[in-house]
Amino acid sequence: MKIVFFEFKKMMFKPILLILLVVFSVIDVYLLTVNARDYAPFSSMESAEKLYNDCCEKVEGKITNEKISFVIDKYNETAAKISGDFYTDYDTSNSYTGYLQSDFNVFSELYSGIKRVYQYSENTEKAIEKAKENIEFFSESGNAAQVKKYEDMISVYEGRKVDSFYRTDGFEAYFGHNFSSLIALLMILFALSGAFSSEREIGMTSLIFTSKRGVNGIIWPRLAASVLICAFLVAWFTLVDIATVAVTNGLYGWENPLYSLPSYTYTTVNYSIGTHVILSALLKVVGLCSVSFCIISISSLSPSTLVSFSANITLIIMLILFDDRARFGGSKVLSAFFNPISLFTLQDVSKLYTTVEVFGQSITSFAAEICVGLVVFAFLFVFSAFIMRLSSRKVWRGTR
Amino acid sequence: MKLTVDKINKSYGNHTVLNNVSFTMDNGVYGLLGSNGAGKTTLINIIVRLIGQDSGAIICDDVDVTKLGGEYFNRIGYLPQYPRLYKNFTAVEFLKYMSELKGLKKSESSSRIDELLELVNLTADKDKKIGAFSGGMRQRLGIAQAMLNDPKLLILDEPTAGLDPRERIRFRNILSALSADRIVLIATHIVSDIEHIAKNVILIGNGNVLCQSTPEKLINEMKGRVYECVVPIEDMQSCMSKYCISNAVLEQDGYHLRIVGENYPENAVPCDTPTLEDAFLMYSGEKIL
Repeated sequence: MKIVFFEFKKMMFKPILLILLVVFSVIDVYLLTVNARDYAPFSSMESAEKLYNDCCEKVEGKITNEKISFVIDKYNETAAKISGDFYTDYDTSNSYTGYLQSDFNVFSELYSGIKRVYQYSENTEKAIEKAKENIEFFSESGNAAQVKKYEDMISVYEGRKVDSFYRTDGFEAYFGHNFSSLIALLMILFALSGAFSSEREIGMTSLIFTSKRGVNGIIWPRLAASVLICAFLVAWFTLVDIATVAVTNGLYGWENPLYSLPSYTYTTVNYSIGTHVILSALLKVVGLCSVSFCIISISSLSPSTLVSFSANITLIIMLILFDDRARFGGSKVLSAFFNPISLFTLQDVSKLYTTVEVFGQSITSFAAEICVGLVVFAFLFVFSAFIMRLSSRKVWRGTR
Repeated sequence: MKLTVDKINKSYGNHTVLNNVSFTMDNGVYGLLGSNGAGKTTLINIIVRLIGQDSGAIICDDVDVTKLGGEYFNRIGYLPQYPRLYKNFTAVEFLKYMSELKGLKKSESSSRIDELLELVNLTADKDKKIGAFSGGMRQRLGIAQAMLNDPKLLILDEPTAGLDPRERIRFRNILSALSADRIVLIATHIVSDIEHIAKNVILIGNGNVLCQSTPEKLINEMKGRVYECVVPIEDMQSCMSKYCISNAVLEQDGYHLRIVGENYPENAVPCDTPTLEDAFLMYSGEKIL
């Protein structure tokens, strides 16, 4: 275990990395603050934002008749005030925010939010009814695959309901922010590109190879240390992002179902927002680890850190471009599932009910991508160990 | 412990680096002396099993080291040429890391590390980052790591390269202290590194063992083969091309030359204090131009 700690320290505790960690964190916080403010309703008008915040605080939590009445009353009251000609000048005596229109906008936002939550179950039932109609249609035309697809869809959507209301802009901003994944990728590139090549440059390889444990003594600890580095980076940026959004917008309703968020209304999963935060962080760790195994393998084959860094940055750019092309190119191709980068943006996949055919079985893209991601992770773990051993044998024979 | 290098051959393509190299070592300091490119590092790399030989064997206590497997590495300590080590580790952390790799038990590694830091005079700097160490301190730390497993064969490749005279002397003294109950093999092209501490010198040139003997014997053999003379400044150029000059000092009356070998000027007189450096020049047959 101790050797894993030393490997971790060797690769991570470098002044340049610690400086980068601070600089990247500051940039991340800045960008997220700017983006998150865009998600917040009425962020450009202080009085309206304050009114919205106060009202949300009042009605958040379990939905009750009292809370619904409060929102409807206020909505009707402010709607009445802006019907026909109304006073548009600043006036605090007759309005909450100073403007009648702003008052209405605030309560309209609140009204539509609570209405969406209240009617979620009803809307889902409608979707289920449609699915049942489709099953009937496809049964008649003998399309068993489509029948199975809609049956699965019904089993996912059936019984869904949202009991509690919380403002959602915080989590929407948090899940919509992917910049920290890019930073984590860059950090891992700086941390691991020299994992083996820099050791050759400083003459440590021969010391390691002539020790009792030899190269076998460092392969597994080094892979384990790279997993720890990935976990550390993801945990760090997850916490930075959560703390930032908690300050700028607030994060409410951790235990509410994920489908209570507007952009996840038709998600394929039925767990809570909090679970999704944890799961998406874990998937990022898996994706980042897979990339890190590639980086370490390339480093073990590279004659210098510069070559290793150049090859690795090319690889990462290609993976990102490939992922973008697969994601935004219209249709998701199966080969894109094998790209570890895709695990970084998996929350996008979970938003809609999309399926892929695997051996004639229809499974959700989200589940398929997780399975493939784990397989790719396991494969690259073993493969990188093999490459490292192979490269050490090359040194052994004196061919390098 | 006894280590035999038995008819080792190694080539890279058409270039022969080692040609039938053989010698035997038991406890004491051995100097592997040869000019740059003579094949010292290749031979060392074969002895520590970093690279394989084309033919021949390394035999440790009558057993071929290939049959000893990992056990062989328990018996050796190695310090490569110009190790820079991990800059972000402290001396203690580095030694702990190396103890892990050498498979030392936790209980024995702490006391061993303290002992070795004391030996190489780094106790006061044990918590300093290696990045802040001087070349000499790094070399001493390198020695400490090589000694962690208390090896019976300590191999050092150009250990004093880049060290100042004070560090060089300190380093030599440490090696002397370590040589009582083990083989210490020092590969170097700096004669003074081994002149006073080596019990045996192996001269290597162009991949061949030129001779293996004690420094005293080598120096004695040079008696009558080293000459001194004074030549005018204008004759210096021609002397350099004609004779094997081991030393040249410019003084008021001209160049005071020290010449090695059978070929010397008529006015030269025999020198009665030959050195190991003279023997090195004689056997390597190199002219200093």
